[in-house]
Amino acid sequence: MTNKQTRRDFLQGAPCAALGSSAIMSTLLNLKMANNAVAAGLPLDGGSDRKTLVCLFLHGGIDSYNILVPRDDTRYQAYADTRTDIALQQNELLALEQVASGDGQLYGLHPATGSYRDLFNGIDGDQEKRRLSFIANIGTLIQPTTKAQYDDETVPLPRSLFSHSDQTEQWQTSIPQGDTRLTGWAGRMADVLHCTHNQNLTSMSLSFAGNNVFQVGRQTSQFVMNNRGALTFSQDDRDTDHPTFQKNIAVKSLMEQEYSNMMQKAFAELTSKSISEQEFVQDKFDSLEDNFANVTFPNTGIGRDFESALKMIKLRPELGLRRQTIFIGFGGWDHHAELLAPQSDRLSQLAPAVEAFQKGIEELGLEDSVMTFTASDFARTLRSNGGGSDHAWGGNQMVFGGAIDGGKILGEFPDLTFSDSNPIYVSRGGRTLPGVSVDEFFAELLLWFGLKGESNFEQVLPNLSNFFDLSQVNPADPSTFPIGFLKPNTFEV
Amino acid sequence: MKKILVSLLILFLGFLLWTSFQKGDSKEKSAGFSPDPEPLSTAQAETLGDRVLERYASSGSSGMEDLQLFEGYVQNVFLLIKNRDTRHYSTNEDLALFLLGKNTYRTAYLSPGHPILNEKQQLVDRWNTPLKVHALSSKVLELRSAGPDQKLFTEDDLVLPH
Repeated sequence: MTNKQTRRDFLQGAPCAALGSSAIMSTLLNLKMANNAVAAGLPLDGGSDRKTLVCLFLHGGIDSYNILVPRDDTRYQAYADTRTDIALQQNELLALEQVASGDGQLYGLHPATGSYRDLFNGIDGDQEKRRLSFIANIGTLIQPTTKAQYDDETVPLPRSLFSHSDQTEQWQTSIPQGDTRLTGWAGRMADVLHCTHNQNLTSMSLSFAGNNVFQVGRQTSQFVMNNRGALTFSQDDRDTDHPTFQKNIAVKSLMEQEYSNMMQKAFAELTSKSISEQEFVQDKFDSLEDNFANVTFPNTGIGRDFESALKMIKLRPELGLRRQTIFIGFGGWDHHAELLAPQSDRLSQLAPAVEAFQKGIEELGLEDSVMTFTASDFARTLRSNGGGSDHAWGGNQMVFGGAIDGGKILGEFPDLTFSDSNPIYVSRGGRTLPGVSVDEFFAELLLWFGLKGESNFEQVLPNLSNFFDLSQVNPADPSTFPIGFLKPNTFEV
Repeated sequence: MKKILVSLLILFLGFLLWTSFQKGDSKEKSAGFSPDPEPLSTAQAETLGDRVLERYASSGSSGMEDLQLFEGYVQNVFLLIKNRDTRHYSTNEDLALFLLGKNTYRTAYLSPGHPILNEKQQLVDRWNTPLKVHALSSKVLELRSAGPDQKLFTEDDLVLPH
């Protein structure tokens, strides 16, 4: 990968520029460029593959050091001594069987996450179907940082560490120092890929958790839906006397008026376009039967969200999407008061939904074209506050899908011995300094997703070059990847 | 005549504001954040907290009034210290140190012997239970008192902002 922009890169980017940079170049010129590009057989980038990247955001800051736990006696004892009354029992941990190329250590999982274990060890005991790996001690960083640098503040640090909304935002922007314009890394990536890969029938950025920062682009926007489908104005099957129904008729009628004022006209057109898009998506959504995949989802909110997400993935051809991102949120992890029982309860809801989703993906034969990763505001303090844990920094996240070289703990799982001399701990209460940056994690996801060109990576992940040199990537050699969780040859550069 | 006097008064107040701002600014430029503030002298002048929190935990106020008083005081300190970050005050102990002088200006806004602090230098409510400090965002710091039962996260907890 080099800095040099190829003719192909330029032509691929031209239609996006035509749609998105009218303030810089005249619309006519841009349209001409777009026409030329299309006439030249571009876009769409010549491929026919489809890919979906699913972000499962665990709002509240999950205590991930009670998800992935050291299992051998020595390391478990260090964990238990540090965590005291919030430590899991060693004999209740679910054993993970790492592949030989893993980090060689023994780990266990929280007892309520049996489905994660199966995805890690191999679906139905089939080691060829190891779908899940963990990234240990990952967090927001601007550049590699040591404990001394943190203490002395001699390097730029993510702003507002240990704060919910700021850290949530930074996981979604991947710009921990802040930016003049709030955009998410998936949104900036959609700015690059949407018009070259998709038919522009609907947004490629789909959210089941309301508006988020993750999918906000400069030119592209997100499409918000719930697990019953799009948020349409139609609601044909509703009671026609219902005030909402009447209100929707009034809104549609207003949008159909002819306006002489340009602002009113533009607003009406935009709203009408949005309504049409919602109805288009709802139409497709309703076209799938309930038994579209031979898998049963739990009858919970998160179960229904995953089921609807699977529907939208199956509908990619009908929606004209070769690239799609899906955002799913699941909160309730801010366990200050009590950790053990409430966390177990949340995991008991989440893990079966994750299992059903991945089984559905496999059932539809889409495992190589869907990748899911978890994210959270932050991890939590290793030290107990008297039954709960508080806001911290680095933590463990998982990534799963058919393109994953599963069964590995990647990054560096820290020594959890609690002492002032342990360089992993900063601030107070057992907050771990991340060893892997979110940029490295996201870069590898983006390589798989099909982002190409150093300038595009700079646009999407502006801090990446502080951690990783993209020019070293060889798709055949995972040791050259930012972290190394992808199988060889799952992407091109 | 009246107008002239008012104008002079405004000018004078403006000058005072400008000089105090200059002082603060020069402190900010000269002193980077230090994790270890210099020990406060025993003869130190009265701090902002001594005045503002004078009625804290007094017999004439309630637990909620205490919390409101403390929340308002913290907001005022935040207005004075613009160059700050949640990592400096996201726990009870860190917030206490921040107010005692472990901040960008190395200025104490609270005296070590103030009744809001216990012997461990934790910020406590009127029932002597440490307050729970919860960083919701860079702008909003949630404060929780355990209330009369002295147990956090129970029904009688007092929480601000609501």
